[in-house]
Amino acid sequence: MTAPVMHLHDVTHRASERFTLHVPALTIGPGVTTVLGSNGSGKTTLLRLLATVLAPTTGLMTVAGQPASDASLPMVRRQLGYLPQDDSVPRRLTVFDHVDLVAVMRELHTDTRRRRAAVHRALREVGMADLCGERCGRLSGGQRRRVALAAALAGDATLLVLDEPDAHLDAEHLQLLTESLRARAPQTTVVVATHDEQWAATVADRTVRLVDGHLADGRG
Amino acid sequence: MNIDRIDQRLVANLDAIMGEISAPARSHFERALLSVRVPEPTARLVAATPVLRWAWFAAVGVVLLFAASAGAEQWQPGDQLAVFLALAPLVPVLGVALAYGPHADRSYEVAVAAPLSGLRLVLLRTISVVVAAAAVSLLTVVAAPTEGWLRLAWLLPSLATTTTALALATRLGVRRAATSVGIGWLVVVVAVSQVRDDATAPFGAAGQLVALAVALVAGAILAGGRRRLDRWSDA
Repeated sequence: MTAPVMHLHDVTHRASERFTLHVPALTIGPGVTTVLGSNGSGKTTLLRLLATVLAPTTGLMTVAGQPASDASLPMVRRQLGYLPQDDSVPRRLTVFDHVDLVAVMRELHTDTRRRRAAVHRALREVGMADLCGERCGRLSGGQRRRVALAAALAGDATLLVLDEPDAHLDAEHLQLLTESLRARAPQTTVVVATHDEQWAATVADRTVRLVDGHLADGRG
Repeated sequence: MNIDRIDQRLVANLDAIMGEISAPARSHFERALLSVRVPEPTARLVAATPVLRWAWFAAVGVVLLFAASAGAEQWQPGDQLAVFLALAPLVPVLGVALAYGPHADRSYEVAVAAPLSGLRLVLLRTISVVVAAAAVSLLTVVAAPTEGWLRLAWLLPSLATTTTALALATRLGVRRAATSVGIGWLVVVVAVSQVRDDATAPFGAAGQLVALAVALVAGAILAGGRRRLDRWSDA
């Protein structure tokens, strides 16, 4: 499956009375696109739009040439791996069970063995394979972040939307993440929100900067 | 042979083996679901969802609380059943409120971004809570000292409150919908009982027909608005 290209045409999203995101035109294609901006600039709102969690208030978003309408949502989401900004890992489940449960929701494989293999591979990729049976509640913040990341990476999604995947990661695991994203970049559309400009320069093919809900620049 | 290709196959095989070894044992409940031929992904969704444990405990706890209060000595036998019938349809509504939404589930945002239908997920979770609560409800009603079909008169109202809560959830979000339906239901029951001067009047034949009609209309609204459950709707 080829990496989908996403287009946003005059998209707005009114997140609250005080904040509206406005994207006049933006195209995101294969490779790693980082989204930079200060707190409250609209990074998470933009990523939630790209992950189809939020609907545009106005404007049009297309994924692989198809409008991201309600009817096309399942098709778009089958290609998608999404890491939200907030901690999305339940404390009571084991590491393996959480990633497996998300894999079921993502309809990764109907065959259980193939799904479990994909889960193990993703956990190995983020350096969590040794902690498969550990309850998530006993993990550190950085480890839980890697579990959530594994849930997004599992199954070779061709569209990855990752909101601050570098948060809480130490240098060793940040390097693992960089290598993983760079290895996927040619055949995957990756969108990453981060505060770390230095890391963004290392991992990105293209950078988008947001200021107060508006695009400051976009080069690529 | 290409060495890289062989390496990739070995790693893939190793992942397949390690995936089987690393997967924790299934719970008794999940194995029970599989034994009655529930599809494996569905059994996973129901059994491995942590938020459901609290919903189950809450739903069954509320039923037991109803039963205990209805069994108090100061109640007349008919009033015991009326109280139970009035409160039992709120249990599945509570199940809906506790089983889905950002307030209930850390993984909600991930679930919304997944291709699995939001309606299917909320129905699966609701049904699993309702089945647990209904089993306890049935035992309680069978043990109640009133005979006749009124023992089962909570079933259609429960269907009506649940489908109405789900239909409203497509517009208001799950929590507000459940709260609205809960309050609305109690107002209707108290009002009808007062007007007819009979605590079990809302559960007579006319009440059952109205409940069925409400359930059908709400089901149609839910079917029409089901796509709204696929977006962040309860923020």
